[in-house]
Amino acid sequence: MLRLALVGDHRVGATYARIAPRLRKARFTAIADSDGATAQALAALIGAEVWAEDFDTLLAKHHGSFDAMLLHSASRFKEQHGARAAQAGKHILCQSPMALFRHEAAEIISVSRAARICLMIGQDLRFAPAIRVVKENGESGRLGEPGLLRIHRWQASECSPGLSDILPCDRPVANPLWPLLPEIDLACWLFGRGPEIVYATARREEKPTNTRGYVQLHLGFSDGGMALIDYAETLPKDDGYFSLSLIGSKGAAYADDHHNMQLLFTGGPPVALKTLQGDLHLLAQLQEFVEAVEQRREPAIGGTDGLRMIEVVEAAARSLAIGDSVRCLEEQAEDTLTPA
Amino acid sequence: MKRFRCAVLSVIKHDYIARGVTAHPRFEVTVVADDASQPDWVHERNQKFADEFRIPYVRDVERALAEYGVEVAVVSSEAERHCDLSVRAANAGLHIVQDKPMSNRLSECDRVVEAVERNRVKFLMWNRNFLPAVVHAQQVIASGAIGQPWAIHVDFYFSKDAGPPKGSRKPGDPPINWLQYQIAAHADGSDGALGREPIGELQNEGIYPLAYIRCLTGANVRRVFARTTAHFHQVNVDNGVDDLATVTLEMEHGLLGSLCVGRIGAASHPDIGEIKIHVLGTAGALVISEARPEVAVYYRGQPEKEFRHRRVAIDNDYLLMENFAHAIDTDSETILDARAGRAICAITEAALKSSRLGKPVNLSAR
Repeated sequence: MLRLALVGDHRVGATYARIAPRLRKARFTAIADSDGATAQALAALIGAEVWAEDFDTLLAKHHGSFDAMLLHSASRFKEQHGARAAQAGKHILCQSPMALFRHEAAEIISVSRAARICLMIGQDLRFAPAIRVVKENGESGRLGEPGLLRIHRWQASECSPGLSDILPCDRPVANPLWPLLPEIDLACWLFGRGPEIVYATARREEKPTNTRGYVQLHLGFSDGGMALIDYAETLPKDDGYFSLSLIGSKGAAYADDHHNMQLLFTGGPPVALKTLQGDLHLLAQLQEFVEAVEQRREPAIGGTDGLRMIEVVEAAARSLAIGDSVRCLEEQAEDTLTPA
Repeated sequence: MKRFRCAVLSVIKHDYIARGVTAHPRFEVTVVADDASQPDWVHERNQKFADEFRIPYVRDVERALAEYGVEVAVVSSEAERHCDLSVRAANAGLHIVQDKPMSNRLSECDRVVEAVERNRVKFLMWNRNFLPAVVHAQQVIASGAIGQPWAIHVDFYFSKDAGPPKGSRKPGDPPINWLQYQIAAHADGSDGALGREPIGELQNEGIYPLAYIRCLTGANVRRVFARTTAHFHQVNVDNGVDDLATVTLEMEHGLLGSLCVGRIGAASHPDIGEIKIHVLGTAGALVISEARPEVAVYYRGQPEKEFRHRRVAIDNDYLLMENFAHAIDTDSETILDARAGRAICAITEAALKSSRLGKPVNLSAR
């Protein structure tokens, strides 16, 4: 039985509490949250024996109470939770992004390899039921060679935990493309490789303090593959919208919220309601981590996947800054696994 | 109301345009004409259409325009002849309805713009802007429901095959001849860009989604970044033209957008294709399926190629011609005039250049 410690913020605790009873071969034994009352309450809810108010206390006082750490806290970047958990010999499921910069991600990977622990990157979109169907059909060969991936993801500004919300304010990050990490990962995963060229465009809202807005990414892969991704944090309120189309040489898959809307009539024009897909993706992701640890194998989303997301988003940021396309292969040719 | 006599100047590519013209009671086709120097297969197709409509076929364009009292030319030749026929019609004082693409050369589009404006005639590039869902999108945007549009994306996947799949050519086999393939494919409607010069789907089909973007935003495109490839069909591979393309669009007034175009193969969609419009505005957003309204029909023994979802309430042909008639009557512009067609041709030309260079390409403010 793998013993899990959740180093989170209050937003993820409730979700893990819902899926914990369905988890096999693992259970939560420790909780850390910057708010002590929240940590204590979540520990009671999820059945964990110990709790702490921060990562350091958890590691120092309760080191023997857990085998693996789920790193969700916003302070994971500044306090280097990833590298330190690995040094402590703990297996890691680290929410993406695993680091703010390429060299920091590379260091986590190096330390994890040296410590022989399992490092998995949390990217639950890969485990979403609709995306699993797309991936399975791609892997089976039914769709042929992937040619084009199109993704729209739109959210209401008050609903989206944009990176500006979780990043420590003393880090020099103002990259509006960070929220595209899940889609960048999907693109690399579905094409089976990273892009060779990136072109990014963006629209910012007028208020200078508001980093929310809209970004658009155009990726080119070897053999002619291409992806177009747009992300908006500008919907007025409530539900967001997600649409993914994968066009292959033999077939295509369309996972589109537009196809999955229900209608509600309450007078006036009907309202479209989205039937949600539940927490199965988070359960599947966590179970995959547990299985990878138990079987001593590479997890579905390893450190190099996390590093690649950061490399692409950094290339996209440079594209945005210079107003030109950026070649990725040149950057990836660098020895990124050597800490800077 | 005045009725217009129409000359069909070549009807070898899409006869649906000449048929579409007749959807409006003010327009009647009275003669088919083409140049005598054209090859036999061209004359055969023209003659067939003329026979069906019981009108003469004249192998002399200028004579037909002079002798049949026509006021409108309907041009549906090979892409590389479109503009020349339109210029000749404009110089004869005829209004023009032209098939897509406007041309495979921007310089040819410039000739049309000059001729149309000098002769003060009306020009309509055939388009789909009056499909019910597109009209609906226009109405929603015009109502202000989503505020001011600032991003627009159009997917235009066309689920038809184009001969054998990519990778099917055996060693030693000759490459597929473009024109011969297109002529042969005409019989079952799987022909694409008929012409001597191969053109890809971005040039061939791009006018439809780009016309949507123009119609819904009114903005000119200033910069493009594009990727293109021949991903599906051997005929495209052999002739070095795309069947799949994506374009990032940077437009006037800070508008952003994108375009996906592809002839993605019949197996990739149960109907004509996934064709969608996504618009983001200052106060909301809009997602439109171009196919709607539609009716689903399934039955035992249904032919494999029969669309399961039938589009209904389509009145695009009539509404295009109503728009054309209104432009003539009131000396106003059509929904897609010569300058708009030229602008779209410039976008696709820049996109192809961007794809070759791997760099964004600016468009002039012309």
